[in-house]
Amino acid sequence: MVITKTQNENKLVLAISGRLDTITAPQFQEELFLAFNEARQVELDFANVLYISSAGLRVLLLGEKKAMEKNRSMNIINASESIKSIFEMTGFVKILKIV
Amino acid sequence: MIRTKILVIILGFFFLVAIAFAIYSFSITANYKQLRINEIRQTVAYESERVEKIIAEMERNAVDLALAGEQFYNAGNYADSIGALILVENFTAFRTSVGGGIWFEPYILNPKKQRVCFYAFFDPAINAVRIASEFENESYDYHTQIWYTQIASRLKGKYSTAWTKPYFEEIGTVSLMTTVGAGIYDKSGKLIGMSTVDWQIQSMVDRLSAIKPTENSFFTLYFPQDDHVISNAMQENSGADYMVFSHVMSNDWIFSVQIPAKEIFEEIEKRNKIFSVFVIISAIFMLGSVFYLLSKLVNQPLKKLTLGVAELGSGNFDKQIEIFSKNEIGMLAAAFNKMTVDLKTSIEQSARERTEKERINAELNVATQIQSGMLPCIFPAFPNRSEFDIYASMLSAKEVGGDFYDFFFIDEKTLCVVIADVSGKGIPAALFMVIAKTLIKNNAQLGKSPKEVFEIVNDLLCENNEAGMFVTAFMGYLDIPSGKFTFVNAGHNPPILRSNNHWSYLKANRSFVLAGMEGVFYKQSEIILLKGDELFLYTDGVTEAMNSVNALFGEARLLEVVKKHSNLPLREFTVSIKHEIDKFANGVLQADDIAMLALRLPH
Repeated sequence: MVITKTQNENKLVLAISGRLDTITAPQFQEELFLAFNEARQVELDFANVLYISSAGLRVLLLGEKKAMEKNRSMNIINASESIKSIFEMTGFVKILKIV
Repeated sequence: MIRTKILVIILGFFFLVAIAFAIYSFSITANYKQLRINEIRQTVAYESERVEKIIAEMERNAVDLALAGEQFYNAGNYADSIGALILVENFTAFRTSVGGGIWFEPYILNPKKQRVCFYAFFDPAINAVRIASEFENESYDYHTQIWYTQIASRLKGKYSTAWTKPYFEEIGTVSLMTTVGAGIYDKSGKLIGMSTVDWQIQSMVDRLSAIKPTENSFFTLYFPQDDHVISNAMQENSGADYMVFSHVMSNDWIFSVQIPAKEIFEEIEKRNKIFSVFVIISAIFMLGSVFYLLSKLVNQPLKKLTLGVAELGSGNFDKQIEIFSKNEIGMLAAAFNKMTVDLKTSIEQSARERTEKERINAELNVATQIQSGMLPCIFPAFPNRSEFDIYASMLSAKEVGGDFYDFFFIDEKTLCVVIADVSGKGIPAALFMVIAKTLIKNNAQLGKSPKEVFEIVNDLLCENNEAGMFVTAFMGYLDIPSGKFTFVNAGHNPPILRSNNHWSYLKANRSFVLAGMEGVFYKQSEIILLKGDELFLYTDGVTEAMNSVNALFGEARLLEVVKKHSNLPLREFTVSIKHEIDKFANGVLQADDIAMLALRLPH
């Protein structure tokens, strides 16, 4: 997994490529929480996310909670159909802001 | 051995020093010997010159007296008193000689008188020179005395002198004497008398005796005419080598000093010997010191180190080497000691870690057993119920997993089935799974509807869920008499439903996961299961099984293989599904837990 950070006006875009699983989730969590300190608006570009496991979902859930707590916003963009189907199946579509 | 090599080098160094010293000492010794010889030569020359001077004076005086005698004879008339006066005057002036006289041949000066002579000598009793008249006595008869005949026979004409062999004078001065004489001649050259001058040579002999360059050296004074020798030789030194320093006097006497060859250079040789011994002793001392120091500073410590290393090698990690010197070897020893301590610490630590790991493994094994014991695993589970058939299996990717299934009766006619997947894997997931499973079962058995159970369990799980764990779960109640199946899906994979021989995913009314967020409302659905219908519950380990090109097993493939093996009894059915997954994965390791639960209503 590779995370590319781009500052876009007052928006911080984290472009994630690869797999979000048990192994990569801790790194993802670290970067995500760091991003909340740097910008009010964090956008997660999921265009190149090939797979997300429950560990990855857990980080997204923690991230959403953190965002609410710190009054930040977290959007997921460009998620593929297979990723979207996982969000749907698990009911995450109702919790996360998926654009 | 380092020590041997260093000793050889030092020995070589000493050898070179010894050669250099030998060359130096040889030239010094040669110089010294030359000086010594020159010194002795000079002494001999000096003493000889002294003697020569006296000889010359004596001879001169003898000639003077002879000339005076000749005047007497030529004058024709003479007075005894004048002759006596001449002699007394002469020897008073010339004290080198103790005395002397003028002697005439028989009847030459006075036809009536056979013996005419004048003799004067120094008389110590009166401390003056006086005339001795007793020589004219018949009893003495000087013409026949050996000194007289000897001188007479040895004289070679006017102005010549002749010496007697040394003798002891018994009249007058009783001492070792020699006498020189000169002839008195008439006009025709005939010997008519002689003069004599006596030389008391004892003091000269004493003086020559004092020339002793070495202990056993001695002098000789040789009188060739008489083949007579005066010497102070203490003993017969036959066979010994001598160095001889000699001088031939004007009167043919030969003075020589004999020095034993081995004595002349004794001193320098002794000094050389002492110095050689000193060099050898200092070399031995130095070699000894170096040997000792090398032993003490290098060999012994190195031996200790070697033994220490060997002991360490044989497993004694408490080994400490006792070398406290501050040199390189001491540093090496200190490094060695530190190394053993570090090694020991590190070995102990890795042993502890190994023990810890073994303990954790053992505990994990126990945990695995506990976890699998929590899942119903005796089949057939309800042998006295013919209305349905149920089978379930669980394959953890790790020792303990987060997936679980459950089935139990809520009451006599209501069967509850649950399948769930805790986010993550391993111990945290397993712990969370235990809580979730217990809460679900407890609440279900209180008679609450599936929806109510999930809402209560969700809120309970959300409490203190700092770790952000969540559970996807599917639960359904089967009312056995009516076939009504009431279910809730909290974000879990949709089960496969066989209804009236039609296979499909049961995707209705999916809700959010458990423990994700407080206060979630769960949607509940109902379907009717008829005889011949079937439900297949599974976790994402099935659909998300991956092959070597990262392709997922997927829902479509699952549906296909489920259809394909649907004729099999439930146990063989689940085994076949697993086989299909393995075939798909093609050697790629199972990454996630796989739980499967199949419920079948037989015809």
